[in-house]
Amino acid sequence: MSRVSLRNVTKKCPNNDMVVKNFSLDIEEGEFVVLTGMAGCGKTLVIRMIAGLEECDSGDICIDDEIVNDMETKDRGVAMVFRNYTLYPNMNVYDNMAFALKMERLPANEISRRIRETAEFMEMESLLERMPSELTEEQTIQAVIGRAVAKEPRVLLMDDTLGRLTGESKKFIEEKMVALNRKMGIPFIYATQGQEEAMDMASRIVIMNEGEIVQAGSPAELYEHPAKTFVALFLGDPHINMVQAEVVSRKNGCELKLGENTISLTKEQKTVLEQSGSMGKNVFLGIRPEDMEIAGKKTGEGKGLIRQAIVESYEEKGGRRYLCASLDEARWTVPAGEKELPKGEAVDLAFSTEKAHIFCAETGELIR
Amino acid sequence: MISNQILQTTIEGLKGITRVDFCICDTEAKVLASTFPEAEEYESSILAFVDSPADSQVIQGYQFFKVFDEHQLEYILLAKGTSDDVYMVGKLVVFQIQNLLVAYKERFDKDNFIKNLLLDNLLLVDIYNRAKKLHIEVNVKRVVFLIETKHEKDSNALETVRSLFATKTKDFVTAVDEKSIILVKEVRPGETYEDLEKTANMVLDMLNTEALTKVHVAFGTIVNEIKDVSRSYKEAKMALDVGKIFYSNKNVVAYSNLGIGRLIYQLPLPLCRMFIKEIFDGKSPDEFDEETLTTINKFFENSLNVSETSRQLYIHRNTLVYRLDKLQKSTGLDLRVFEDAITFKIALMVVKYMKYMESLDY
Repeated sequence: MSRVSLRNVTKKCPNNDMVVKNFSLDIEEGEFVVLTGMAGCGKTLVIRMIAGLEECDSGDICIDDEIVNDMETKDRGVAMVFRNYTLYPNMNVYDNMAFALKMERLPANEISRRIRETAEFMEMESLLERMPSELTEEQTIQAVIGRAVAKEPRVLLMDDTLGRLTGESKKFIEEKMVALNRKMGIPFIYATQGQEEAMDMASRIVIMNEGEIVQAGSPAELYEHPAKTFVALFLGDPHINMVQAEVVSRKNGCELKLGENTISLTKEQKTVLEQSGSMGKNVFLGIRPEDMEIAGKKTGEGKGLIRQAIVESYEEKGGRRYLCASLDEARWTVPAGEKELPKGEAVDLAFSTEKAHIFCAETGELIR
Repeated sequence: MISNQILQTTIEGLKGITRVDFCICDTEAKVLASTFPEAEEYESSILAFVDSPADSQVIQGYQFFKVFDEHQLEYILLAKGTSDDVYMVGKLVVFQIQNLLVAYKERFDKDNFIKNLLLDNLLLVDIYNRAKKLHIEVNVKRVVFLIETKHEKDSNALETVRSLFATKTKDFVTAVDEKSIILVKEVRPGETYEDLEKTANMVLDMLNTEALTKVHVAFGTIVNEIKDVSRSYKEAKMALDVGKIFYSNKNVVAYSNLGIGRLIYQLPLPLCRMFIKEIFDGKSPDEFDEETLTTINKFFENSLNVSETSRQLYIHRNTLVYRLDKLQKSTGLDLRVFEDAITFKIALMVVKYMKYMESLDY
């Protein structure tokens, strides 16, 4: 079983912002790590450095505790599938999978064993005799992944591999990938800009920005406890509601002031805010859309209220309908109620205060 | 000309049909392909057969045949068995191999033609005559991709590119030196430079993941006629060079997208030296320390914005201003002024170019 570790890896590209800074990460056997972040954050570069397609300027890259910095790609025991994959057009799937193995000069019976085993493993025996032109996009990518798996790698590296798929077929392949990762027990490292893919497949997400790790953890951990506004904004579709508020002092502790609205906080939140010295300062308040609702008569105590927001539009995301409303500069997304409200009408929005995340406005770091 | 692997596949296939064992040797009795293990034992008999005038002969339980290529003895074929049936099968195999030789020669001719075409070794009239003979269409749009591999003679890379393209009879894969692979590709109607970029990226990803090697891919412009293919090749070559000098982090470079690099690449070296002497007064920008160079590059990246640059460099605004002042003192150029900034930027690129050209001299 194999593991990958990167220790203080740095990569400089003159005149370009594609840079990896002091990057350290340990990836255990059987982990499915997804590197994600905006375009140009360095995730592809990390994948290419592990593969040996780019050299790092300093630091160490280890596979199975062996430093591989100066090792050729072909000797590293990695297999890769990148975005611009294709099958050799004039060979059937079997020959496609055999091609690289033949180049490695493996004996014919070994090649045959590997392909049969891989096909069985990935439940794609029926595809082996088909030509690429007879395959759907889903089947093509299965064949391409099968081709990588047949190399019996120590690590599987992927860069935006599912970028060309959408909708149902993407979900289908994502599920296959997760199952494959469990079966194979080797590290899968996947780079993508799509937070959805990361949430669906990863056992651990690593969020990067400007060549550095912002936060790493399980999808649920990052979603529920984002360490920075960057992470909170990056994950989740629709986006988290993020508004600026002022911490004001009251007789019974502090409150948040959002324009005309004041939000009373839980006891614990008050203590943390006071201790962090945020009194009188600006903070960002982040609330996930699913933690909000349209306020009704029954909306009781202990809830934060945003009064008199103006209905702007409705949108559909992930099979749910959301209402978008605005108040002053801020924009709010909340699950739509049963009743359709006309555009321009005022609406009160509510959320449970303990679910709110509060970030420092200057550093973007989580206060509570 | 035919690879041993093809010969092996051929006789294995024929054995599968006829259940007769075969062996093919060259005229010095070296075994090239065989379906049975003990073929080396017949060396002396083969050498004797080569010298004999007979076209076929039965020796030690094998039928020996001669395979000619335009009256020139090319191979010796051994077929196991002495019966008439084996004789007939042996004759069929000889016929098959002779036809393979013809077919491969034609392919080789094509390859030769494309090589000469790329290197401008053909007269205009010859181009059209030979293209016609080789059944190569002359008036289709084509483009040349140049693929440079990290290691010389990377046969895996060549094999990968061949399998991706050459099986389509309209695309040609060849090489004129040991470091690069050339792909002459037909451009389908409606295909744009964006599509070519995609093809280049596909080649890159496939070579990275299948041949497990680092490569650079460059491509020229689309040409309308076969006589212009060499132009597209030269453009691809230049793009590869310019990319290496100025855009070292890019793995795919298009000739149509070279930016300022294109202009600088055409400058004669004495002119460059004069320019650098004028700007830096004999000093080389190499003498700037790393900190200064990082500062300059970040400042350019952020469109000469002082506050953004200092934020990204994690330094105080005044520190950045101090560094820029220091630079102005030593070079007379104030990077905050657009005009000076552009001079500096070009000068840095010229220096890069000069360094590259000088490195080629060794």
